[in-house]
Amino acid sequence: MMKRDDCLKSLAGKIAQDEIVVAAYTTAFEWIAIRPSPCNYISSGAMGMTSSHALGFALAWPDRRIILLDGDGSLLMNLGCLVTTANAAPKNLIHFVLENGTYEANGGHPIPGQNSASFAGMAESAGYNNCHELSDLESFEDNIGSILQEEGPTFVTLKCVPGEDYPQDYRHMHSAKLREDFAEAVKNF
Amino acid sequence: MGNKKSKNWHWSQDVHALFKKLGIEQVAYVPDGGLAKLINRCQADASIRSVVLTTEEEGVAQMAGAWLGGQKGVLLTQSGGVGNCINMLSMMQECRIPLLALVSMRGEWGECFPWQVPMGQSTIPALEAAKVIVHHVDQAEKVPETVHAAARLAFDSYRAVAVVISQRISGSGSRG
Repeated sequence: MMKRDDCLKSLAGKIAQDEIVVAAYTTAFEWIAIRPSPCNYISSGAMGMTSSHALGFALAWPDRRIILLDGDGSLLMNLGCLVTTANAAPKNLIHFVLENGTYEANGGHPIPGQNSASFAGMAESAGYNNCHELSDLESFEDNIGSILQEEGPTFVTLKCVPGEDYPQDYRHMHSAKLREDFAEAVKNF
Repeated sequence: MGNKKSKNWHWSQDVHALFKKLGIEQVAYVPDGGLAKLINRCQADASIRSVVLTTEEEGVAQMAGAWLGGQKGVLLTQSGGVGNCINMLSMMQECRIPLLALVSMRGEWGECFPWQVPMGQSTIPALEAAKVIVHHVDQAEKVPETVHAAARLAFDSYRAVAVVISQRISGSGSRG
């Protein structure tokens, strides 16, 4: 199984610096360290809602690709979003789920359905245009280029384990500066 | 608005027209009888993106995404759905993201379905506990002006505002 930060580093190398990335919880801390950018939209409030933030944003900017980095525990808390998103059918949305099988930010207990539930299978049933499941870095690197070109909504499960430790700097993540930088970046689209 | 209306007039006509005037581009909803005419008007309008939800909390987050993406949206929900929104409403307060919600009431005026009463009676206290400003309206003629005032409060003063539309207006769940 791939390390999450290796996967995120690889993804960061494949997308532009001004691409909007909507990221949740633990992945968000790693993502803003790996790809610092004013175009990072951090959603660490109500658990499960990152996907719905991304939908609203994707509908507002149909000509820009929106990359969503969701968590498996988060998705479980808002499974209905799969149907809502598939039905709204934003062509510009790529919904990644970083599946580590645990509630990592809240004590590391296993999620229900660990090793049995298929998120990509659920997304496919819900009606996403394209669904993938990748579990090693080599297949990620082989496929991510073409996945990024697909007409969405696209869903990608990334089976991964934690990699390096990254600073969990809440003060930085929730700073007024990050919010202002994001607002300024969007204003200049 | 507020003048004598034709026999066939329904508040949803004026509210839909108001949405256009305000530049509302996204409407998110879980279907409800009290809001059905407004939902139909929004769905028929190509300039408004109507998104049907599986649960109302999705819509609160969607409205946040829409606002940060530069669009105004409205959440349409029955009072029962307010209970599903509480956690997500915290972000609107913390980040001062505008939220305009139209809430059609159950569990109050003439309700004949007892299971609706507890949540109906908790709706306004729950919204206010989550720091959502509530405008309650119980006359159809006053719905458009109330929505207009709520929209200004939401989008110009960056607040979460709910227009709570009385069951007295919709008649939903009330025996005649």
